[in-house]
Amino acid sequence: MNDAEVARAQRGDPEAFRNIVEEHGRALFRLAFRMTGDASTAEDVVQEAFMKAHRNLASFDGRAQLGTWLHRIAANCALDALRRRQRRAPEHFAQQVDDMPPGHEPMTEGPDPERLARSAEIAAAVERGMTLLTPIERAAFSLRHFEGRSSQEIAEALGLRVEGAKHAVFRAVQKLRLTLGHLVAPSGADALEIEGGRS
Amino acid sequence: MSERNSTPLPSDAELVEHFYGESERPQEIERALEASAELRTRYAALRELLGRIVPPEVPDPGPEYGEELWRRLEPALAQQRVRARSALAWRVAGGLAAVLVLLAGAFVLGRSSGQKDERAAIVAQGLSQESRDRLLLAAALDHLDQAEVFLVGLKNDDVRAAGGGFTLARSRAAELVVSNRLLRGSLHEASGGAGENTPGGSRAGLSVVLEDLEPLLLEIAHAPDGLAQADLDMLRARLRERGTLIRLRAVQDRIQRENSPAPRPQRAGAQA
Repeated sequence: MNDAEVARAQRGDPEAFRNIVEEHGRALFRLAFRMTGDASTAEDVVQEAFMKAHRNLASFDGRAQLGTWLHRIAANCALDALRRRQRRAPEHFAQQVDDMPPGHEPMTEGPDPERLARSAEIAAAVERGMTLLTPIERAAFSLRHFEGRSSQEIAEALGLRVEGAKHAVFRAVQKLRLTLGHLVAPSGADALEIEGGRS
Repeated sequence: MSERNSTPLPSDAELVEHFYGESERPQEIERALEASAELRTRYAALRELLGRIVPPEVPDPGPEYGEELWRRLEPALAQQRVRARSALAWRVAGGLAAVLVLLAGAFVLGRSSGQKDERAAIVAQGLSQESRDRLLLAAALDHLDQAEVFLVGLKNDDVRAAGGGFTLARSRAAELVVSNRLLRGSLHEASGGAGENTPGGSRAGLSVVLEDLEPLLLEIAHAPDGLAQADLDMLRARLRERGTLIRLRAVQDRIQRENSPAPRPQRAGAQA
C-alpha cells in the first residue's frame, strides 16, 4: 500500500479502499480476536473499524503507518465491543478447553495425559481469569501480552494516559494471578536465568 | 553493598513492567534480584504465570476473507459516502440547496407542461452562474451516490436478498431514471444545448455516465416481477462489462476532487 493509493482512498476511491481492506483485514481480525476471544465479535469489530477508518480517512496524514493507525482504531472498537458485551453477558468469555491451542501444552516427547490435563486446567483457568477483567484491563493486557505493544501504544489506542495503561495491565496481572496462582508454581527460582525482558 | 541495601525492593507493579521490558530502572531491579532470593522467587512466579498465558489460537477466517469482508463492507461504505457527501453538499451549498429543489421543479414542470414555474424562475434569476454550477454538481454527486448504492446492491445480488422479490429494486430504478433524466436535461441546459461539452473540467464524463446509466435503469424499472436469475445475471454481466460502476466512481471522484477544498492536515493517528 503506497502513499498514492492511500491518497486515492482519501479522495473516496472505493477500489483503493478495497485494497486497504484486503491488505489489512486479516491482521485486524487477529488483533480483534485476541482482544475479544470470540470470532463473531472479532468480525464485527473489524467491520466497525473499517467503517470508522473510512469515515475518518481524511484525518490520516501519513505520519503514522496506515497499519498502525488501523490497529489503533480496531483496538478501540474492540474495547467498545468488550464494554458492550460486559453489559450484556459478563460470562461470555468462557471457552472450551478442547479448543485451546497446541501452544498450551508443554513440550514433551510423547503424550502425557496428566500433563495435558494440567495444561488444559491452566488454559481453562486463564479463560476464567480473563472474564474477571474489566474491558479496559482485558484490552490493555491483550495488547501488552499478546500483541507486544508498549504502554505508550496501548495508551494511545485505548485513550488512556500512559500510567493508566500500565495500571490496567498490572491490575489484569494481579487478577490473573489470583485465578491461576494455585496452578502455577515457580520452578526453582534460583535456577532461573533472570532477564530484563519478557522470557 | 550499602547502596544495594538503601535501594527499595521493586514493587509487584515494577516487576511486571520489568518483565515486559518497560522498567524505568532495569539495572537496579536486576541488582535487587541478584541480591534477594525472596525477590527472585516472586519474579520467578510472575514469569511462570505470564509464560503460561499464551495468545489464544486465532481461527483462520479463510483465504477469501478479504474479499468477503469487502463484499459486506461495500454497500455500507457506499451509504456512508452518500451521507458524507450529502453533508458536504449542504455545507457547501448551505441554504441554496432549497433553491435546487425549486430549480428542479421548474425543470420538471417546464418539461411536462411547457410552462416555467414562476417562483423557481425568479429564484434562478437571482443566482450567479457559479452558484448554479455548484448546485448542479451537488445534485449530480447526490444522484451518482444513490445510483452507486443501487448498482452495488445489484452487483452483490442484494436486490433479491432484501426480500420483496424484484419490486423494490424496480421502483428504486424508476426513481433513479427520473432524477437521471432531470440531471441530463439540466446539464444540457447549463451547456446551452452543447450536449456533452459542458463547461468545467469536473463535469467531463458526467453526461456520458448518465447516458450509460439510463438504459440499464430503465431495463430494471420495466423488468417483470418474476425476473429469472439468468436475466439478473445478464444485467450484472453487462454492468461489469461496461464498467459502469467503475466509470461512475471515477466521475464522482473527479467532481469531488475538483470541487472540494483540500483536506485539512491533522495530527497523525487522530482517533476515529
